[in-house]
Amino acid sequence: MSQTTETVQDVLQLLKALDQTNSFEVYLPSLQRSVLFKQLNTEQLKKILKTIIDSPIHNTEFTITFNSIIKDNILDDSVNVEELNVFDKTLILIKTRIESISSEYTFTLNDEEKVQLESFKVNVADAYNKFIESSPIYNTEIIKSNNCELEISLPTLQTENKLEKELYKNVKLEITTPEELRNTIGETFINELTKYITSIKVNESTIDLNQHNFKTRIKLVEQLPTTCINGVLKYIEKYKELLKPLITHSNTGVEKDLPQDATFFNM
Amino acid sequence: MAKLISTADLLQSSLDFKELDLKQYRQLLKCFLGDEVYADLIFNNTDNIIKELTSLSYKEITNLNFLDYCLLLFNIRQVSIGDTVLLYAEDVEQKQLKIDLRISKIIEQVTDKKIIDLLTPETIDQCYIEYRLPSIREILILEKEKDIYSFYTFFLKTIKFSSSIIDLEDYTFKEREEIIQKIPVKVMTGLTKRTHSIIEHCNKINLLQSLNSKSFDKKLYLTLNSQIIAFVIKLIYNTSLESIYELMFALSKAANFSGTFLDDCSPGEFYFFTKKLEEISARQQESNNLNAENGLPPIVSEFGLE
Repeated sequence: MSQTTETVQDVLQLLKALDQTNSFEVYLPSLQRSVLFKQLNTEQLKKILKTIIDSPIHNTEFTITFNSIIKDNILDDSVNVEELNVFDKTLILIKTRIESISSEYTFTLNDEEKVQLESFKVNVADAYNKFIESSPIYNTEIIKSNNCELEISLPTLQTENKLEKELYKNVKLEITTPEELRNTIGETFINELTKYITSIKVNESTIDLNQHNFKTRIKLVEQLPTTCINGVLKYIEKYKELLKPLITHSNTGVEKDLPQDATFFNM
Repeated sequence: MAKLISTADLLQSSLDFKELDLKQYRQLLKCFLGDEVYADLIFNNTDNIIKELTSLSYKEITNLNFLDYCLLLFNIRQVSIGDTVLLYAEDVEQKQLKIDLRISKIIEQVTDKKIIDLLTPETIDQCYIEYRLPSIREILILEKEKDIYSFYTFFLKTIKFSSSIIDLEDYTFKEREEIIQKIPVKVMTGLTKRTHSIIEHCNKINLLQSLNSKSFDKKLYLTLNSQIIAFVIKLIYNTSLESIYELMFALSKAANFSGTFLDDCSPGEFYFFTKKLEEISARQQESNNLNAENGLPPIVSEFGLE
């Protein structure tokens, strides 16, 4: 660099000050309060958009990238990011999109939907503001079945990161045969289910699943009675229902969900 | 020979320049030899010529935005050679057409108010953004650039927020890349939108618009492409270098013009002298033919020609 008053490092420091001025609040259900976040910068958006080439089933690259962005962009040191859960993450994702890109989102329509609708644009900010009005919360639950007791809760970012890194990081991006597809869907189903189970109590002994790696966790979950599994599925279903007013939008008979991957950030 | 000093109105400033001399013109014509357009060669030589004709330093010249660079060369062409560029083209029926392209019309198009509007600063999320156009040298880098985000650094002049000012022009290309990575996405979105509007506007500047008619519908857009810009420069300045040498030889031989004197003339003056020589030669030829018919000796002209 020549004849400049400030080095690039100085400039990058100056831009950090801008992060504070342009910060925004996100309501985090697990903390029952709002927390300040920085807007996305160009480098982060670039990283997100690069994850468009990702496994369509696991979304691993996007999950890891966005979780690390949450860590970088949170402006409240008192919050342990690893302990935030997927509900918090959904709200961070949507608010980050609103503040950094636009409050409007246009859905991509398939040929069938295009017959019914020319274009489908929603104001995500309106949906977000309405949704947090009631300070939503989703608590941990206990499922009991005979001598088995499960503690289930929304997966934390730490759990998500662990699962992605241990199981999905090296999987094939492309599925070529129906057999591969069947296996992948089956594995994904049990893996996702496992994320929600935090402890298993059989008789008087309790197993804290967070202390084990995912391969062990999955093996344990595979042994659980169907009634317990159904309880977990109901818990997941209820969570999805809770999110519906925020995520699901309908217009003239066309119902669409906001994508929770890199395409949501496509401008 | 005293050189005329004129002022070129650039996009957001004006600049005094001296008229081109024949020596510099020949230097330029040498770059145009052959059918190919050698952009680097042309720009290296136009940089040197601009340095000789203006008070700009080499750094200031290479930093001129590409439209100002073109405007300066259009003005130099207009003052030193003339406003009309004679072109030969084919019409819609493939008949050869002789067309007069007016430099003044081209200047009018390039300095259109729209481009000034597109360079107007704007405020995005408490950031005051000033825009710019890339220089010719930057266009050469842009053409090799693969990272789409880095591309936009060439259109960003300054970012101001709170009491801080970041002047991107103070930094190298690599440093600018590093800085732009850290700007908020909303600022980047504003920058990309404005950049696209600028490019779209430039892509619509058809330099042949004033000629458009039913019989001639060719278009030449002043796009952000080094080859096209170099081609435009070639188009407006080009003439036969061989004919210049022949005319110089004729003026020195027949009218005793010294090489130094001719080198110092503007191309316009040079063409004036050659035209004058042609007129006198023609007049003299006519008189000699008449005298020969009457049995009289040939006249010795004011240029000492027989």
